[in-house]
Amino acid sequence: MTAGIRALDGIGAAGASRVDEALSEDFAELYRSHYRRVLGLCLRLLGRRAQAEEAAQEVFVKAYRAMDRYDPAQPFAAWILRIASNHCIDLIRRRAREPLGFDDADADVEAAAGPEDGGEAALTGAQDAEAVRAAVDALPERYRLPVVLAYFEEASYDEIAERLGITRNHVGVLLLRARRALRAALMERELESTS
Amino acid sequence: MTCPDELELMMRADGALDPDACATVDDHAAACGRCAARLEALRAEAGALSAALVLEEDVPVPPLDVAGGLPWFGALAVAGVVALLSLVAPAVLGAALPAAAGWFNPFDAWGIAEMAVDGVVFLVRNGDVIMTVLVETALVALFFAFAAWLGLRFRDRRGGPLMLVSLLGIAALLPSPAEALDLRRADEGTVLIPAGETIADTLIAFGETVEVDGDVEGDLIAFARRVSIRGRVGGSIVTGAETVTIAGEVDGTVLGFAETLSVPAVRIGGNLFGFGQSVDTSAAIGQNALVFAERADVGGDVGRDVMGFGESVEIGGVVAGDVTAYANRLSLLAPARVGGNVVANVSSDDNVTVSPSAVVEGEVTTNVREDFDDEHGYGSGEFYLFQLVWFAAKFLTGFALLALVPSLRRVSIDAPAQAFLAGGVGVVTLVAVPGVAVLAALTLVGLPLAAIAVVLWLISLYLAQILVAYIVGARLLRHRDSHYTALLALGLAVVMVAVNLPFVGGLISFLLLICGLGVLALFLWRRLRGEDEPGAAL
Repeated sequence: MTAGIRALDGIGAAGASRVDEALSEDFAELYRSHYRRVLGLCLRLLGRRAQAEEAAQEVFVKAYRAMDRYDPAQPFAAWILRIASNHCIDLIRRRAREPLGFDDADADVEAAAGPEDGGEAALTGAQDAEAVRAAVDALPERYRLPVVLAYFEEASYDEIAERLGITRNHVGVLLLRARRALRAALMERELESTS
Repeated sequence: MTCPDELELMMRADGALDPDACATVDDHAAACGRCAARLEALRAEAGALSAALVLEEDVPVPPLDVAGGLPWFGALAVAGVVALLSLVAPAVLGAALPAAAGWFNPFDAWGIAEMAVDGVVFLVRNGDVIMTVLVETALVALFFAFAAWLGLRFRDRRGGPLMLVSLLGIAALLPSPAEALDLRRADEGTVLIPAGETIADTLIAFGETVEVDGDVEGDLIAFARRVSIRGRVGGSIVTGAETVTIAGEVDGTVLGFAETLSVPAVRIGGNLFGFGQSVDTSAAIGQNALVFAERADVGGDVGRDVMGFGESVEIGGVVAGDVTAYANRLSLLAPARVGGNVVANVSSDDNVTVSPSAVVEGEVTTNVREDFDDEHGYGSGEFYLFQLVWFAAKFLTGFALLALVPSLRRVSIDAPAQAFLAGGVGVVTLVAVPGVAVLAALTLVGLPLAAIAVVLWLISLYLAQILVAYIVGARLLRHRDSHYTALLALGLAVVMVAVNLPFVGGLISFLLLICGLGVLALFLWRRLRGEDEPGAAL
């Protein structure tokens, strides 16, 4: 595959034309089969459609150039999703006027009381996936990022911790807070729709 | 053993605990029904989240555009193509370009450079006065841009008091501290200063119509659809409107942008800078007249030089200094008397008319420009050919711009407030750059810097409209997975029609220009500050 792609390097120099048809068939196939997942991840991370589409394109361009570093023993999906989330985190970092705030010391979760029902039913019972997505989109960036990385990209806590530059426990705290906020938002929505 | 807390349970459900901790929680859950149920609920919640986050809609897969990140040799290739076209195009298209547009020909780099040099020389010679007006205008524009920025920034917060304090602070920095500002606005109606009323301060007026029959002792800044000034103005006038008529006496300088700028004033103490489709003055002008119009008619006496750009330039009074024209035709009518030289950059020798009773004390130099042609009109084929050339040139330039700076493709204007902000910044850029250039040019060391700044500024003027056309195109075709070249082409087509509309075309063109210039300036500013916000609206 990589040899085929290297052979195409000359095409870039030929001009700014679309080279979809000329791309190595293998890569084009990977692109077609993974585009929606990558777009979805970018959309969840960045929030805005136009931005996400642009980012998804850039992710595949990056992947195309880095194909010689891809280890075929790994699943391609995990690889491309990691490139995508790193790319989006970079974009978010660059656009943020202030640091994202992952570095606050109070990593202790408040109210770590016993295992009473925390209202998980609000999420599991939500019929409307759109409502869940809207609630995720409405989360502050510092909560949304770990949620999307953990439950969309399905990255491990350790991977998330490494990428955001925090500890694994801090990832857990952020995720717990995020899930509580989501439950509250969905319950509120539920109440509004019934009343 | 006490039950594990929610964090521990969640991390267990997500498979994120160390093996030891994991075993502890599992052992506990095996004995505690509540924790087992909770663990299950947390797993189900994570599953529900994963399921909900998957993109459900069936999105089309756009073609992969590797060109988006062209390596440098690709960029060189694009530049090469553009350079080649710019070499070939003038030869092919030169003769087809209509007259007045000749110096605006994007391929005629020499013409533009010559104009820029003349402009810089003119600015250096008359810099001090222009400087004052420009700086004052820039400050006022800056004030409004700042107000717009504050409005944007605090729109969702309780920033009222802070905003007020900041505005007052800025207002205190404005020039002429002895004078206060008198701000009047009437969105729908008329701002009227009746005869007999005297405004002791600087007057700023906005409205559908602004009529000043009374006297203004300070400066007058008026923006409206129609501006009519019949009273005396002690300071300078800065105005923009569809129609501007200045019939009163003005002690300072007049800076006017209008489709029709008519100045039958008795006297203008300072300079006249007129930009519009038609500029017509019979006033006695104390200093210089710089007129940029399709039809420029300078009928009164001028204390220093006249510089005219346009389709037709007519001189009818006594000009103490030189007359320089970049035009299709230049006419010196009956009572005209020029104390210095006349330099006519026209399309043919026949297009310089000197009436037998007109006198030129210096020399008359006629530079015939090959790319000038005879008459053109909206009904002629040449007009449409020109539009085609205009379109092709802007499209190529825009294509190169967007290919080389991909992040520009993500710039957008999403709200009216952003358009205002861009417009404000655009006006500031429009006046501030030549202003600073003049300041720099006054020192010998700064002269080359000033020339470079003016050339860059001219290039930005050219790029501004293209950028704004792209934004218009992107706005029209949002979310339709179009390639940026398609958005650019659509936007340029819409802009091309809009700027050629009768009556409002000039104004639209100007608004697009300042908007684009503002977008460009803000983009560069953010780039320089390292805030690369892709997809950022302004």
